[in-house]
Amino acid sequence: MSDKVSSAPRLSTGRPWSLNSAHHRAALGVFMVIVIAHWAEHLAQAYQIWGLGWKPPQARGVLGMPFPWLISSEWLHYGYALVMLFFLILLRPGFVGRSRTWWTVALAIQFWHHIEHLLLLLQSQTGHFLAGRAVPTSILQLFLPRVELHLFYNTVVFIPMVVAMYLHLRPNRAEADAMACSCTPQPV
Amino acid sequence: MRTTLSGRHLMVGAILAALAVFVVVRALDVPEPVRLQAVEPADASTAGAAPTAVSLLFTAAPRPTTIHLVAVGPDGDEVSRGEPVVTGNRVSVRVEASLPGRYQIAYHVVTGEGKAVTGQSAFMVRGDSTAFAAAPAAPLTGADLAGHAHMNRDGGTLALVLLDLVLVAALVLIMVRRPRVR
Repeated sequence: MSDKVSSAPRLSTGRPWSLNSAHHRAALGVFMVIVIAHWAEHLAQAYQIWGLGWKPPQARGVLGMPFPWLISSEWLHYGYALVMLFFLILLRPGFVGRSRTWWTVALAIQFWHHIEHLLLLLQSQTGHFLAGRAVPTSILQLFLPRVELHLFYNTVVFIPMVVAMYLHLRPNRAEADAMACSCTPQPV
Repeated sequence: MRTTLSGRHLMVGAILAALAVFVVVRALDVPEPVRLQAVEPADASTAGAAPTAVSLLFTAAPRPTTIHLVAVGPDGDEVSRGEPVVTGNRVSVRVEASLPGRYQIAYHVVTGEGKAVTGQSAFMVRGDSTAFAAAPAAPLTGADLAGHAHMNRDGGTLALVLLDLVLVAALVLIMVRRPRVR
């Protein structure tokens, strides 16, 4: 009996630069390095606060120490939200089955996250704040005023992304048959 | 060897020259950065009665993107009430303070230019019935201009960080191992 999963992946999808076929694994790798680097900055901040006992305003991660303006820049946060959105859209066609569903969930949440950042950016640029507040305010903060917005949104996007990555790189047999990218499991 | 300039070369040259002029003009046109000029009541000042508000006075409209401005009374309880208000060059918050003693102000403002202004100040209230007259606004010295952190020291944030740590570890494991059928 032939093993369908072990068949060579169909690597021609006609997409530019074969990002969702021959180079899907590499493109996902680049994207995940960006995502993990971002988390590494926040985990470094957390270590500075809880591990080293620094006060939160002094805990600026790694890059934030020489460049303190980085973590208070609305442009930077909006830029990162855009990069996330870009890669989530760009690499979505390479996903199939359950992994595609979870990736789409991450994309939908990230789209809303990006809208929230756009609102914050517009408020910081115009000086007109939502609901008469004294500082730029997101929609979520109108309902949950004390939420750590950046960490919360990035976490709720990251959860379905990790699930999607797991299901994409550990597909069931039917999903492996449907895959046409370089992430397709190869015979041992 | 003789070379000739094509229309494309001229076009690229003109665009680069225009860009260079734009960058130089913008660089020369950078406004004076907004600075914290004073805290009211002034640091180390003494008042007969408690003020009804504490304020930060800037050299120009700060157009803040983030404001934390709180006052704590002699008993350690927060006495600032409501959201800070921005009026021109001034950021204020209302206070309800009745006890005599030492009051502390802590502030953290990120200006529209992205500059963080952080620091602490303190003033005394004597507790007699004399109307409060704020001391002349003195320039703040020793203000900590440390940067802003998008992370608080609270249980919810710690829980999110721990969850993210687990997710990052899981993602790295998923990525480094060979794909396989489950």
